[in-house]
Amino acid sequence: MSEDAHQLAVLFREQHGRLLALLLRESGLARLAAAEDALQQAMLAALRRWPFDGVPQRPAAWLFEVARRALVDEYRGGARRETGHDLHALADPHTLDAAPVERFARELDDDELALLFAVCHPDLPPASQVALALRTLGGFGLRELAAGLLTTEAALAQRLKRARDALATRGAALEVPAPEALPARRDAVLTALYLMFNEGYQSAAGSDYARRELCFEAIRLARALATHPVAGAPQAHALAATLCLHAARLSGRTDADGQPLLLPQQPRDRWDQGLVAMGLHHLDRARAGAALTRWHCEAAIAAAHATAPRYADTDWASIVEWYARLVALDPSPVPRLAQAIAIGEAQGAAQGLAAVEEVLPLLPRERYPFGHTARADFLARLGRIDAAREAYTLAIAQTRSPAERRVLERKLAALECGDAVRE
Amino acid sequence: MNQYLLLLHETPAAYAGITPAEMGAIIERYAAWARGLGERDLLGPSQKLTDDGGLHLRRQGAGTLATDGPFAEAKDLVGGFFTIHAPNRDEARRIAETCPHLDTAGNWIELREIDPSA
Repeated sequence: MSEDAHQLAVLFREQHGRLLALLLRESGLARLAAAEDALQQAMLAALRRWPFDGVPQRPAAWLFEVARRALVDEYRGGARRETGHDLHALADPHTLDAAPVERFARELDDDELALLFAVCHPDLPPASQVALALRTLGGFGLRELAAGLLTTEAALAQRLKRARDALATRGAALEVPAPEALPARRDAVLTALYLMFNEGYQSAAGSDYARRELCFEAIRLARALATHPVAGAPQAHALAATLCLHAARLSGRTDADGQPLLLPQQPRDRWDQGLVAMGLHHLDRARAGAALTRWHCEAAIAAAHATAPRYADTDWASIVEWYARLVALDPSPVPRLAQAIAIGEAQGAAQGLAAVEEVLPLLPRERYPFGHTARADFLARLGRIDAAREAYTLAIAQTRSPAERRVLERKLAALECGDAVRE
Repeated sequence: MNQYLLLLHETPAAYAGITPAEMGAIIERYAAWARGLGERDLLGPSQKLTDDGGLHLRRQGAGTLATDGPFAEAKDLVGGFFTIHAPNRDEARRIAETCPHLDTAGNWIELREIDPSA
């Protein structure tokens, strides 16, 4: 019974993008807001009718028909405009409901893929791309999306509206980009999906549920893009691998009391081996590519962590090499900080400290706490307790995340006990 | 076995912020509830009512006064009804209390016994 409850919830969420894409195929991207409203109305109608009539044989086809009628009605009621779109041209509802609704199982069809490319258009700000992709393809509600993205519903609604308006003004076409434009556009989509995942993975506020759902939606879309016959590419597999391998650790990141656990302390038997296997499978497919992309490096690093049986078994030398390749492709401060931490693990705290101190002044403001934490960790290992205390205090003052603050306060307390956190 | 009527009162506006996934989950809970009763032969005819609220009719002088019922925007609207079979009112109440209709804030159930003496 609970399994069923899950099924229809997944169906509503996963079919959201597909149904929306089908509606837009008829109405054009300029009517995105109206199509979203129409689909919402159809789902609401289902919510109020199906309890009495039962769930129809083909629920997605039912939703599509009702949404399509609502969209036509809205169009007739509104001011008439010339659009070159025939609102009555019927999409084939028989193609609906053929797909399984298991999580991550379904490929994107071409309409959904076109929608993904449209909402991740490089002309839109990255934060808007992420929000719009989650809203349209993920079927996220405003409330849960605001919780996951750490913003207010009003701000989010405004951001979404601007993004929809921008798409409409641009007269953006709803189509998979032509072969010559595909690589660059695909890179934009991969970056948006990576951001989407990180919103869920790194934001420490917001409910666990909302954050996990963001991660899983990013994985679903990355996997679907990777396996698409036309738009797929080795770097998409590499991104899918990276996300799966990181997500595998979601289940081990907190202790029984919900307190966050650092990588060395995480019980590795609680990592999701299914996701690890899925990630390694995508990593394998990613190797088909001739070009080394940043996603390949990220995936190799994530795989090194996910496949080490114990923290002490971590192959830091290999991780340092992959970071060197990543930094060669992307010399910005954020990957350099991660590289510095890996250097400390591979070559000793003194080298790590030097590398961290080199990158610290270059970090963007929101990354300061991570930089100070890394510096404090190495200082503590070197026995420089006063300097470590000062660095932890700085990190605590700057972090916006309560969970992170608790971790730092524990580290600071351990420092005062003369019990430096040496691994 | 007596027959009971469950009038499902709702505030349609209460559904406004519900996400697609939540809607799917709620529908499944209704379906499971109805299926569970059906398997025990405890579920009678059940229907959705339209959202226009219908008409309220009153005799007035020689004619009839018809006023519109509450519309979907109303605070309280009967969205539909279930009928169930139960040996007594306590048992009927117990069944009604498990109805997922009560899971949504603002919703309530009017439980009435269908007079068996007829």
